[in-house]
Amino acid sequence: MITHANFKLYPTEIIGINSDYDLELQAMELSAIEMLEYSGIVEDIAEVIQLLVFILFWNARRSEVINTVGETKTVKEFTEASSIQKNTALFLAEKRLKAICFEKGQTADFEMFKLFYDYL
Amino acid sequence: MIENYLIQNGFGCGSVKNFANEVAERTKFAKDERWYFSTPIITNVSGGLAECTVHVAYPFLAQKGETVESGVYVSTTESAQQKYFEVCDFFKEKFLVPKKKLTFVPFWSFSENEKRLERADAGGVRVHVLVVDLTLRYKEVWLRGCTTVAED
Repeated sequence: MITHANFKLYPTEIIGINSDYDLELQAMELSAIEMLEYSGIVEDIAEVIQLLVFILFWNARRSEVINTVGETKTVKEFTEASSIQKNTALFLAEKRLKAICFEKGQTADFEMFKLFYDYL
Repeated sequence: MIENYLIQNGFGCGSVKNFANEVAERTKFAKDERWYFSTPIITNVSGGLAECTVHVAYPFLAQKGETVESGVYVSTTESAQQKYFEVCDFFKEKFLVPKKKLTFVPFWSFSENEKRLERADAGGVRVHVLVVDLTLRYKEVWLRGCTTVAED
């Protein structure tokens, strides 16, 4: 079961995360498992799931907004996390899932990764 | 399918042509607590994966004393921001939401060719509008059960 303790090291380090987020992380873990549709046992892809949960965590975050005063007020949203870090996590998730599927003779839904292209 | 999902979750809607009028008419009668989306929503589907951009708007009444843009209260702007957070949270429960654009339009005139310095109230009611364009990505199966046509 994924908890905040899983997110202490690069590339899935989330600074400031604590046990308050554990329930949310566990719900995301279930979503990640459903999205991946891995045909083998879930334990095989624990590392991949963690990488995907890292991405889902940032998808769910509220970001700061900037007001620019003018005729109309435009508010832009930006994310606090490094895009490079998130892209790295996504790249590794797909790469490692391919390796695991090849090694174990299992299948997974690789199309799912397209949902995240140009995402971060 | 996405349209049905939104309607089932309490959104109002209007076509591209009558979107502004639809929102305006509803707002005249009472404080409207609904978000509205513009139809049709163009969805690109490939291999069970879908992406679409939804154009949604939230109208709310101006506060007493708000008569010019520079006089829009901080609390009004903050409530608009809160509404933006709420709709983002709603979509993020179901979809991946990679791109977001929000515009807060003080004293929406309901007219395409408005003269911004001479804008008239709509039916005696001053209305601000929050407009948000959100790109949604999802697997089609995530919307399973939303295939029936719902009535507004």
